Amino acid sequence: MSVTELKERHSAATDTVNNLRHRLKQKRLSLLDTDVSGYARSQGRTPVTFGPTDLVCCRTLQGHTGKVYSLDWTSEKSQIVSASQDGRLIVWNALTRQKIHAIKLPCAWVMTCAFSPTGQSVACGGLDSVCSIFNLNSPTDKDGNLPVSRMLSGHKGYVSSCQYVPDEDTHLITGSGDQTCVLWDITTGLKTSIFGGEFQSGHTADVLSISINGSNSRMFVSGSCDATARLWDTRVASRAVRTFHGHEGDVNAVKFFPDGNRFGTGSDDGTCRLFDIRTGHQLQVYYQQHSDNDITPVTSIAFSASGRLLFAGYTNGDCYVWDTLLAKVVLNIGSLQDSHEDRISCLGLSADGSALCTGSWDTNLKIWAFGGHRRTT
Amino acid sequence: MASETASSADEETAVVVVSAAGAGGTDKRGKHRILAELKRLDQDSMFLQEELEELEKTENVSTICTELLQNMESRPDPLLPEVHGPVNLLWDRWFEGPQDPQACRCWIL
Repeated sequence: MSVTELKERHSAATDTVNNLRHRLKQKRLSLLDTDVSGYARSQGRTPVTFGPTDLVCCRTLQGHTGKVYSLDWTSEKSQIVSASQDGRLIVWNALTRQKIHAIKLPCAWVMTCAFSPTGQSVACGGLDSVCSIFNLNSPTDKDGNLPVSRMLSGHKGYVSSCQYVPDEDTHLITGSGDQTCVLWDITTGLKTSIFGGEFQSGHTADVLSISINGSNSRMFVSGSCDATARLWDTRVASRAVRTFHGHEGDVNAVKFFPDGNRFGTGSDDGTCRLFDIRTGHQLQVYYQQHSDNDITPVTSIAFSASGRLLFAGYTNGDCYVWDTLLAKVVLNIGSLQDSHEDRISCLGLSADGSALCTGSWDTNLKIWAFGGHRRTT
Repeated sequence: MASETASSADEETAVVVVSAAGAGGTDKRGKHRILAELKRLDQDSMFLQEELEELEKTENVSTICTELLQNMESRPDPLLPEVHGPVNLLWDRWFEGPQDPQACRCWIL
């Protein structure tokens, strides 16, 4: 076939694809008969109201000497692992504030960290393009440092995010600046599956964040600099199950909703969004102008145990508590008396949902819990 | 509003421009590039067709919101002023023992 004929076929195929995209857009618009806040209002729901002492800072974890970039809770004990650009991982007892481990990293430029489901090991990754695993039960070396127990090498770009597969200490998923996500077998140190890559329906720019579905660990979502989030099934690596559009900037954070049927996103465009995984619908946009009137990027997000609250950290130091149902900001943790002195870079909820941990560029982590009087219904 | 729909419809198709040398049919690189792009477009077309067929059977957002509301309001939430269901005493463990943020100032260097 000549190049001229190929070009004609290419032109026709482009027209077909564009036509399908247009039809899809129209069809989806016809199904958007409301959004979450519109529906909730129609059902007579009113926003959550917090008193001045309802959400309080009850712990400050001090010890890092550089910006905190990432944190993760254990699924059982009240322990947190934090990663800082001081080149250390610290494992904390969040209740007592004690440092259980301080792990000196081979590469200081760490971007992400994660606790294994059993709490026996931690993982981290960053600009060295490697995901390093540390067994917390290993003996320290002669200098008192915990040795790396496994190095997961193979990414061609920085490791931006990592998360252990729930209920498995042996498998972990990473997201990377090389535009792919990888499912790893930690026991062998080998890649089990690669999600995305050339000529697949994968991301077309750096992957910045991932979140594994707690209700169905075969499914995970990734957020990227290509302004999309993609849903993946670990059994089908060749293509994304679905691509979610709407954001107009890098998707810095993705997090599954507690029910596993939806997920939230946070972006450089200053918005958080809620998507439904089964239908692909965008259910809600969460946006409020900040005091500086600029578009303030979202750095991190987390949902409360019921999903009613969406915590969103922003680059200007704000940490909005959104009422997910009414799409209203009900509190700004960033403006509270005991809050951080710099941007909140990471957020995480304890396994039982009773506490929120925030990590900041001010080098500290803070634990927030409900200190008011609870009404039961 | 159109930009706020969560569809693959928003992804723009990049058209590969082949160099003038490719027009004569002698430039193998040009040919391979178009073939590769054509393969990707065919794949995209197939995926979009599947998504469109799936969408025909998809419910409205209001139906999803009904389920979302029921689901949300049946789960106890320790960080809310109003709790649906029993209160777990362990939720308040954060207020036991010393709360003074200055209490621990040891640094690990």
